Amino acid sequence: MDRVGRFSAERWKEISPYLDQALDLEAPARERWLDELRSLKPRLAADLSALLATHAAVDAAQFLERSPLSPGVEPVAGQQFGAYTLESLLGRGGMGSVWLARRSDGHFEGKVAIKILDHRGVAAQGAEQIRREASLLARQSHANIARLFDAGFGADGQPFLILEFVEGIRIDEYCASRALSLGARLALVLPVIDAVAHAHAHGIVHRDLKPPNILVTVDGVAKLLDFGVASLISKSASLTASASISKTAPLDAALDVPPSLGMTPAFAAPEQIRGEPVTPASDVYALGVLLHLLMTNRHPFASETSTPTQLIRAVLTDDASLASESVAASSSKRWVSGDLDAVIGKAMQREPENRYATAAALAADIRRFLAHRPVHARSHSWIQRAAMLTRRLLLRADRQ
Amino acid sequence: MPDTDLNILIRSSENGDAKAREELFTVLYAELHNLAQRQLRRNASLTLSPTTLLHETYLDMSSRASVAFPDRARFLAYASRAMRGLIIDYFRSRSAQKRGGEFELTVLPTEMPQGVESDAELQRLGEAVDALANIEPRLAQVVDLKFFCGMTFQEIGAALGTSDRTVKRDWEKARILLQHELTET
Repeated sequence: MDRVGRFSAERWKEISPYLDQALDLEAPARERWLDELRSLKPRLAADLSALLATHAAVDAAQFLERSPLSPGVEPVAGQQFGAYTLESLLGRGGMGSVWLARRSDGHFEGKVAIKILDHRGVAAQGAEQIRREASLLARQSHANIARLFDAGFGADGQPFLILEFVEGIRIDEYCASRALSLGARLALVLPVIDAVAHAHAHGIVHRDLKPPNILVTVDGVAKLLDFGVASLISKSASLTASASISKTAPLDAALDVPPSLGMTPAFAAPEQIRGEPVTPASDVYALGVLLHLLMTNRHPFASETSTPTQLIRAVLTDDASLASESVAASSSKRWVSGDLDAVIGKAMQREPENRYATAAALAADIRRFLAHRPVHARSHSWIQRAAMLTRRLLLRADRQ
Repeated sequence: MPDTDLNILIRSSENGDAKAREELFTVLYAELHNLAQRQLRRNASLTLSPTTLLHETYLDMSSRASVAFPDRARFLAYASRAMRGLIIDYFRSRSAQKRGGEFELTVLPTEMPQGVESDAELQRLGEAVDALANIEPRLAQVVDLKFFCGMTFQEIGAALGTSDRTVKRDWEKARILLQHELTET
């Protein structure tokens, strides 16, 4: 029988017009509409929310966005980018490849990492904007942030970034391989949070904080990679997109969410997945996921999800499990439960306004925790409890 | 092939004759392939985009009354599927023989598309598009034109005589269903 995934032709015919309606609505209105539908046609509503979650996932992953025949030129060793010559491939990811490179003129001994991005055809004005942004980023200097030295465009127009070359191990692997104590892990990650705070103070949001972007060097220093890179990339992409659809922009704008480029669903805040504006609070969320991961060796949604679609749905609708619930050793469990659970929980609130506003506030609360002082993450709920108690007493007083 | 045969094939395909559709597909596949080969023989360093290849093939077929299509939209609807087959075969032959295979379609394709890791996956995607075509042919057509032929929403809208808003909507729905098909089967 004809079917796609779990849907038969008949079923799809039934669902399709509803999906059209759903795709027409903005996220909040869509939720309300779906809620109403749920009470009338629960099975249809369930199928629709599965399809909409898939939509968020394909959008985030840019599924099929690039045609197989889009012009592509693979960089090769020996090729020149700016004043540098590519030496060896360090890695390849969804956004492009990273190469170890050396200065071609031999003036400067240092090795650099060059990130060559896959996006091509950046509009001329977009290119100018990327150069300006990159020079702003290049002025940032922090011991725990890998520097961005320069940016440019290769012979074929592909944007590239020249970055400080950091030799190290991913922070999660470093912690696991050395079986670091939870206290040592917090001490290791705290300067990273400070580095994010430093960038926030300069108006730069990372947007893609995750273990592969945090390396620990032989000196035991954790360094953040790719600061601001995600925002450079999504800027260039949105510029090309708006250039090519400018005539129809008003129509398309109503149709769906902007492309949420440059993020990883496992560490992305709900608003990032929904394609809403990204703020410092989005980085705070990712830091919360990172803290949970480092304290427990598990992702906060690991127990309930196995596919990206499930993960995205969980991030959008569920509360993360308490970190202490995933800690086995009873002494560690006691150390994490209570204050640290509250700190991580506050960082990972679904609504950005309920999180720490900046990474600096998160770092300050972790320091309070380490100094055995009361954390702010809990004082809020204490105030709430007091308020509730007061209300209850007043009500009782009223009745008497 | 005489003029009448092609028109009969098109009419039969449109009446749901699967065998006629396969035959039409084979004809168009051969036309695209031959033209690409001819162009490459003339100029070895030629870059040939799928859109150009489709366009040239259409012109070429139109100049021969015997295989002329009734209109460009109809041509694109069928040829885009042939293009998909051509591209999947190209990637397969490229990985089968690293250099200078028998099948030198174009010098363009050098990268696997985002989210598609290997030629085997590209083939699975092709099969998923076939499944999609059985459920809602228009969605499959948009995938062929957008993903395999590299056309923009506007170009597709103009070719199919619909608004680009409709095309964009169909594209989103197609991606959702393809993702379901690829992950749930």
